[in-house]
Amino acid sequence: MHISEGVLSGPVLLSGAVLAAAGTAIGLKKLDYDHIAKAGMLSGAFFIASLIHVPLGPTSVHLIMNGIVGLLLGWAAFPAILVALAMQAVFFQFGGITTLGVNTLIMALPAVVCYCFFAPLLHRSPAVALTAAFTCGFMAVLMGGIIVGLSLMFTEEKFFEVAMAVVAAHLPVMIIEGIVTALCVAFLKKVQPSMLPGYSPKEL
Amino acid sequence: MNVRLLSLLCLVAALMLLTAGAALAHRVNVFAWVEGDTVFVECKYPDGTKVHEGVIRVLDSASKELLSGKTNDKGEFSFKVPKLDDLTVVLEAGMGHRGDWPLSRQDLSPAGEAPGQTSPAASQPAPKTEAPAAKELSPAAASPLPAGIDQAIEKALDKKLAPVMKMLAEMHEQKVRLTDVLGGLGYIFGLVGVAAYFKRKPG
Repeated sequence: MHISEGVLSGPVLLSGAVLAAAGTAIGLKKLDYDHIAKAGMLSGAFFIASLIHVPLGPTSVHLIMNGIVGLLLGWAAFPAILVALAMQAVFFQFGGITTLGVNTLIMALPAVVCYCFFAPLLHRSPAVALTAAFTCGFMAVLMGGIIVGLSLMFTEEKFFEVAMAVVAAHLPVMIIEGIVTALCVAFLKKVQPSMLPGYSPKEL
Repeated sequence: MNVRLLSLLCLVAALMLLTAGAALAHRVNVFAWVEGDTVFVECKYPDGTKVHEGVIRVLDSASKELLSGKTNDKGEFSFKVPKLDDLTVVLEAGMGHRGDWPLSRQDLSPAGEAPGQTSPAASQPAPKTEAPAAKELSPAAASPLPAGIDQAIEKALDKKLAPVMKMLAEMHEQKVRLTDVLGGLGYIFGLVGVAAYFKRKPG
């Protein structure tokens, strides 16, 4: 899902960078002392997740994990994903420095959108919470694919074709991410409910 | 119930087939080398999957496109050196994947000289047609030998060097190493410390 350097035109890169910077600023503003460690851990998890290749048929896909990062961090997903992507660009040559802004937007914006939609559902009954978590992981990748298509639209490829290709190729990832996100939420609900958003000790 | 399960399995299988064509990596590796007057290009994703149907474009030093084509199923592409210049081989594998490999003038110069020697390909058939006549006159003369040896050496070298080139191509692939992973994680935790410092509660 990372876009390489030299593919996108200047204006797209610039607007991506501006939007990512705005998101990161909001994220940093909302990130309070108590959540810094959590953001760091999830940033690390996101950084590593791209290395986990899941063999699927003759090819392999890798996890993105923007759904769970967004669900647990909210707006702080922007700085967390930005840092992780910067590290991936420097150490693994995934994506690139000039495309950092666009790539951050591709993965962090769906994360925040998912947070807004699904975080309030996590404290409902287990069935609702798990469905919300699965949909969250699924949708975060789907929206990412749509943003990839949008950003490529302004260069040479056709939006619909690219978006469809990216989404179709990521279908297995979406399903896997949905399952992983649901498992994470189920686990956290049992073991460490304070990590979930909107947690209030009253529930104990 | 069983029918439903079966159709679900079919759907999953179909999805897998659909997605088989697209390898999802973040980066594509391009490696190009020169053999004679031909440039060979090999394209792979970092996990070793070949890039098929990737678009190759060859640019000159002024970024003008000289030729283009598509890689085959093995992720390979080859073309005759179009021009003695600093070339760039660009691979576009779709969905925002792009890689390039520079070929300097020096890399191409042996190839540039070969056509300069009135091109071995063209000179090769010529002695053959003359050979019967020459044999009748003096079988021991063997005057076209140097040219023949030249070509034989070049061929043998290309053959012997092919595995070396392959090895170089493999070495050029930047695989993810443990040090990279640990280094990245270290930076992230370090940044957490920085953030914690600036957000600390006074007092």
